[in-house]
Amino acid sequence: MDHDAIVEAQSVVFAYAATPVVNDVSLTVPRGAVGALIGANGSGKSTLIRLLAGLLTPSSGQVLIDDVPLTSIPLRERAKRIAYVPQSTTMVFPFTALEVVLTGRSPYSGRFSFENHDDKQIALAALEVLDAVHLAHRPVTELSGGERQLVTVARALAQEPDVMLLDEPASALDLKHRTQLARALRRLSDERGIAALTITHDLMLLDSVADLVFAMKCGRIVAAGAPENVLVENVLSDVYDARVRSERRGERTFIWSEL
Amino acid sequence: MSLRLRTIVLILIAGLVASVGIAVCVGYQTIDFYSLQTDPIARAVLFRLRLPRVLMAAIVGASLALVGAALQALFRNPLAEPFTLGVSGGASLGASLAIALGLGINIAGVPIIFVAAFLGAALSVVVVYRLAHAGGGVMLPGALLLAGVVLNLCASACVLVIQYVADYNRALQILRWLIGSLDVVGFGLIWRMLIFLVPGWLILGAYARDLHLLATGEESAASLGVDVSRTEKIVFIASSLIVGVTVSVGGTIGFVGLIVPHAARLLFGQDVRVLLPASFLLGASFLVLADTLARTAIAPGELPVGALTALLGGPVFLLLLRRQRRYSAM
Repeated sequence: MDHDAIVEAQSVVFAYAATPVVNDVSLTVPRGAVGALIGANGSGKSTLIRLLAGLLTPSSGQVLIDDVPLTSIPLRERAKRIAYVPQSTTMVFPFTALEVVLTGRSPYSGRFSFENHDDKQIALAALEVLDAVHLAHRPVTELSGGERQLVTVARALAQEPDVMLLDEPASALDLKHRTQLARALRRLSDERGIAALTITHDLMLLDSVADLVFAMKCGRIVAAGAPENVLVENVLSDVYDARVRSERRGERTFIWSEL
Repeated sequence: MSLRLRTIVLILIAGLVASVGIAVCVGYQTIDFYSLQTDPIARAVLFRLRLPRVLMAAIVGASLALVGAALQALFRNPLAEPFTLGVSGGASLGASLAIALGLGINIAGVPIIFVAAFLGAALSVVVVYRLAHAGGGVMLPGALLLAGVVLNLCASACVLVIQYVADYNRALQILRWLIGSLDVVGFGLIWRMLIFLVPGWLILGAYARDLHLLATGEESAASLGVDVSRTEKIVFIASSLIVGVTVSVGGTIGFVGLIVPHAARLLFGQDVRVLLPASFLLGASFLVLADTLARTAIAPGELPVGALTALLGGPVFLLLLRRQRRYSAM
């Protein structure tokens, strides 16, 4: 067992029906590391992230946070440690963006108390990190998909977690905000020792942000390690079942697929 | 409690007191407050008829509006309320069945009709919920309401059959009960209702935070520490209890749970922790005033208050449906 481990999956299996969607997955994301989870659509990435977040319970195997089984941590305590950013959020009611971000503070406040001044500062700071303060007082129902994603990530930041699990947080973000999010994750890991695991299809940005890359195929992790070891042609071609080319130029890896 | 919530609650309590004041003073029998001490009839009108009825309207209105606000957050559907989800229909069916079987009695002080209506309401909630979550996915808002409408239709069809089969006296009793009225004599029934309603109110109030988080999304709520399935169960039970009791006393009074929470949203914003107490107080004032109108508009005749709220609520519902785009811009 890695002593520095913060999130750890041990032989986790999960099935919605008969066939397992996540099959015997073990992985570790240490403190202060940013991990990326890549793989084709339907390979089980989102399910794995949900399992790690405790939103789903594995049918066998277990998830540990700092060597403590997730199932033994009370829900609200868990919410102080793990933040989860869903792929998309349907917002029905026109809450303001700030109200949504403030819900990230709820694990810290009592059943009958409202968020205080400090909570509000933390929420605004979270929006600030993502360059989204201007959205604070806009109704979330009127925001674009990308803007809404920023709000959801800001809520996760406001939770001040030890672990951040993100399900394609950048899929609807423009290049500027994508970079900003990547930089924010990197900084949170470096400065606060957060462990982050993010699902992404944006392979180009990975090697400047991620310390670890996990490649999933058909519910299993088929490759794991440093970006330069995973983002290679034979691994990617296998994972995506396509002819993928990659080339290292200096510090960066360039990846494209052949038609 | 935040300063803002405290201010809102104080203002709404003042509004409720004013509404009750108006309702007590206005009526077919004018009450001369100077003669109260000498005139036993004036006293009887005030304390045995007028005041209980006003209190009943306040209790029923507060209950329905509170449940409406809670269900809207729980289902993340701005058009949800006891009536549109078919919960009131289920409660009517339960109550009609109890009347038809001659169970208009109390066991240990608990009217059987309360229990039957509660069970009917609970059954509807379970059916709607099962439908809404069939296949693990969350149902489209429109489909949820359609399910509620169909449930109401089924329930009223069953009530018709029961009425047809039941003997003449009981059929008439069911009909009178279905039309619904907030007419009560004395406070006895009100106390008995409160035994059930107060716990229901308190439970929903205690879950305000969880409902607030659920209103922003089920998965988000779960990741913020809400035990979603437990919260759902408890809110369902409390709502069924409240709707069952109010329907078995006042009949189906539709749309209060829709109009009032929306008025509260327009006035005070989306925070469910504010909306629940605000809807509760606003609902009380609303039904007190609506009932005052119902019993004075064509005096000495009386309009069924349920018809009046439906006449007001129907157009509001349609208006909201037209604006649904604003609510589910996704």
